[in-house]
Amino acid sequence: MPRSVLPVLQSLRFRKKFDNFDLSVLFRTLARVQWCIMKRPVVTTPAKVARVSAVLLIVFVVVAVVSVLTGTAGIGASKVLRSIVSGWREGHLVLAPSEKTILFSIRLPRIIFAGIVGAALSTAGVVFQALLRNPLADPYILGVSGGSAVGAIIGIIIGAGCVPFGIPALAFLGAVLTVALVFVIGSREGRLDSNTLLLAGVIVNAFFSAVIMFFISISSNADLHNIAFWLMGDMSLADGDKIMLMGLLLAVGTGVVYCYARPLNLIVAGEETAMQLGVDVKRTKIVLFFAGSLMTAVAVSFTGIIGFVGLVIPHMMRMALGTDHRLLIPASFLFGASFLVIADTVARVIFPGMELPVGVVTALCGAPYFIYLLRTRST
Amino acid sequence: MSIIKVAEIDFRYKDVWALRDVSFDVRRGEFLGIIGPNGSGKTTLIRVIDGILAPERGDISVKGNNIRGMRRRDLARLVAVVPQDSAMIFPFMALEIVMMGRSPHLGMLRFEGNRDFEIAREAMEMTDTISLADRSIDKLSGGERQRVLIARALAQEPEVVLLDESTAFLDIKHQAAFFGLMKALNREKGLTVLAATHDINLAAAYCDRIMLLKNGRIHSLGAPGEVITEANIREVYETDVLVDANPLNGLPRITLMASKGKGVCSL
Repeated sequence: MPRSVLPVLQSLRFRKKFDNFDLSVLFRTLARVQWCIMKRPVVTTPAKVARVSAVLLIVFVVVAVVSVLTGTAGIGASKVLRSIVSGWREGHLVLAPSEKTILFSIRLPRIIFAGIVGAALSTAGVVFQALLRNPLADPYILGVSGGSAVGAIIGIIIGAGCVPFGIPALAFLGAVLTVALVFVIGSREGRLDSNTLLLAGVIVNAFFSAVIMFFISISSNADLHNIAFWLMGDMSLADGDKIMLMGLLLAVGTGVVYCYARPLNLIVAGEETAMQLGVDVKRTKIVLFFAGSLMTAVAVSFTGIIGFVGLVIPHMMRMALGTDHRLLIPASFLFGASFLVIADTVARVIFPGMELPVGVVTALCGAPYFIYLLRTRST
Repeated sequence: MSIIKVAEIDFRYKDVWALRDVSFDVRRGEFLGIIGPNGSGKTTLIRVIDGILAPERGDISVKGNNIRGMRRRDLARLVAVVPQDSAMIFPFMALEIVMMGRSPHLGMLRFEGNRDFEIAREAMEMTDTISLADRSIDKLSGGERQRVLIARALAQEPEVVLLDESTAFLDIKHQAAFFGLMKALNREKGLTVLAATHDINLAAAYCDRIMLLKNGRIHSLGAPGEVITEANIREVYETDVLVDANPLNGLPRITLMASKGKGVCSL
């Protein structure tokens, strides 16, 4: 190993009898060799980003295909495969119209929807953990969840569900107003202070949970079921329009976030350090907080509060791939999508005849894993 | 020729004045020490020169450009800072830290190229940190971590390096090694160094000129022999010291007189 050879060579350099042979050339060559060996596993290159993304994309496709073929309606893999094979021979798919509907109008949109929401929450989680320099941060930490929940519950109680996009619109309004409020509390002389923001978010969330409790205590039994489902995340409302809208917003948000991947690395190293290394910290923080909050607000408005995805996926990816956000952002995006599709599939099929809110599944898997993380991190 | 011009700077935190009417020039290739008691404005001065704090009044120019209204990227190509210590919540590898120094030279979505790696390698060779490249920064010792931070500053290819009490947490061996390395870079590469430090003897040994700050004002500025005198130190630090000539190099050397409760304990 070059690492163990170097000190020996260094000591040889000073011995008299080697004076006629210049060891410094050899020494420098060895340092280069050592450098190349060290450098390879550490650095993030475009090729590495592409490689990791490709692997995680394949994982997502596999997960999605398995999920399409999983369900309680009795349309399993063998039946679909058989119909594809026979369809190949006869020139068309041999599937009943009802089976086609289940596969392509119910399961597939739902899977894409879950993928989009999982990706949005995980990417926002990465952003918030980095900006707040807090490993416990998640997309809901600034009060987006509480605000949108109040909006949605008001929508459910006044019967906004009959209007298209009624409840999501109210939830989104609640989320945006909350974020605006938290930003006003958390800004000092035009710049956002991370600790004040964190505290403001926690307090606002606590306030809204009291408001939620108030509404729950005064609402009718019929509304209660809807409220409870919304609060734990409901994926069953997927349709084409929502997918297009969310997909577009997610693409824009992730694009903006990825442009700031390197400044985000520097901010993790410290805000003053980032300034010393040429980052316009004030602008970067405003843009990223805004993008992250918007992505979260959109996801929450359509599906309700799905916990733990935005907290745990960034940690998993950071442990596997390191802290460089140029790698972390696409990896969390793709793996978050896969994770939520798996969780939603489990929520659909685990109890035949009924459906669990997906938030229950993510929290049931997420909480024990997070405890495991906490226990192993300290060593 | 002066590379940094500081003209009539006033700075205050809320209603406490931290710097009053500070003016001085730093010559290209100079090693300038900044000493003074706690709260005298050393760190504030460093942060004002690096544009992190904006002064109430006065101007700072680096290489003839006023830093007010300068983009941070452009300033970071001229001025690098080695901080006291750097605690990180999510640990990076040493090489990643050094590569951060290339950031002001890269466009938004650009990845580091071969030239950037070559510059990082040179910086790590000079600071003897190549063998630490794949180690996590939170697993390094204080001395190793400071060397990595110097390498990061060098990777910025700056013309000026600001040391913000960079050796405060190091033992004497690493303090000497740190200043020795900065002095070598100063001599061989023509790097201009501004070092805020608590250690008067270190400052006397390595600096070309020394600035003594008292309550945010420049008390005296000049060669170590002119600034570090018993009278000056007593006046600024309100502590009795003995100043004599270091037998090795003839530079001034201070010894604390901690006798009879007067001096150290008279706070």
